[in-house]
Amino acid sequence: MNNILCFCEDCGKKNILNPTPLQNKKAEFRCSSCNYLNAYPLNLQERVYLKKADLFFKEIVDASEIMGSFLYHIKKGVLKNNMPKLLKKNDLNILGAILIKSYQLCISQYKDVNEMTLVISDKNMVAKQISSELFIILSCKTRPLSQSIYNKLTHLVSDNK
Amino acid sequence: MTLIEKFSQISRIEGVDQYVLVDQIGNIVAHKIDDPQKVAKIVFNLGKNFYSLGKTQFKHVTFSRENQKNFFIFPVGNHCLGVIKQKNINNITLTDNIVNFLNSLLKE
Repeated sequence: MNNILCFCEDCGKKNILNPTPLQNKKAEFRCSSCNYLNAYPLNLQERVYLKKADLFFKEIVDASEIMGSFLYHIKKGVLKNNMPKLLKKNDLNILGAILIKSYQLCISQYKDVNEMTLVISDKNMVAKQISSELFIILSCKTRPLSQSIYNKLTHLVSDNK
Repeated sequence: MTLIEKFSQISRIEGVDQYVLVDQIGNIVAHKIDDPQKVAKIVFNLGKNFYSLGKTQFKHVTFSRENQKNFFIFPVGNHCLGVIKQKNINNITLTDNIVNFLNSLLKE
């Protein structure tokens, strides 16, 4: 049987598991890095992504170039929102749907697309794929992103793939 | 020189590898690109998507690629221009070059 990749809920470390500890469709394992005892339903793996995204949002909250950010899930819509209050959740659902539909349309021709930057009015919308159905979208005042923000974003995305 | 002939000079712009210009109903007006029909359809549909966010507000979009031959879309009046850049030029230089070229065409 193939090994399974599970993230530690506490520190985010990737743990490679053989299927044996997956009791009752739960990932029950002790993290190889922090020793935290994980026990979460596998279909809630998304929670780990959300936790990591939370950390990312906190890291960029004081960055003057970032106007806001949100997480968009293809089926569930906006999962986390750090955008200006002026934009309601429904607005973000529409915006997210248009951006991600466009991202996927381009990938249908160019498989190696890994980022989209839309320049609209005086704003830049940067979209990156976190997992097969989850995307992060940043609204920025300037382009390209500063190296520091870009590194954090790349880290968030690469850790989850 | 016709407008299309003038437009085809876009392929001489520094950093432009391939391009396709699509009209408001998805027809190809000019191109020098691989797989033109399929790419034109994508450019047309992407243009519609971004126009829906604000037709006069949409400046351009960049799809970054691992092979660095990034794909761009620019609004040109009611048309949409798709461009694939060469590897050895950065995104901002290319977008500036294209915007300057389009502005010079509009002035003529």
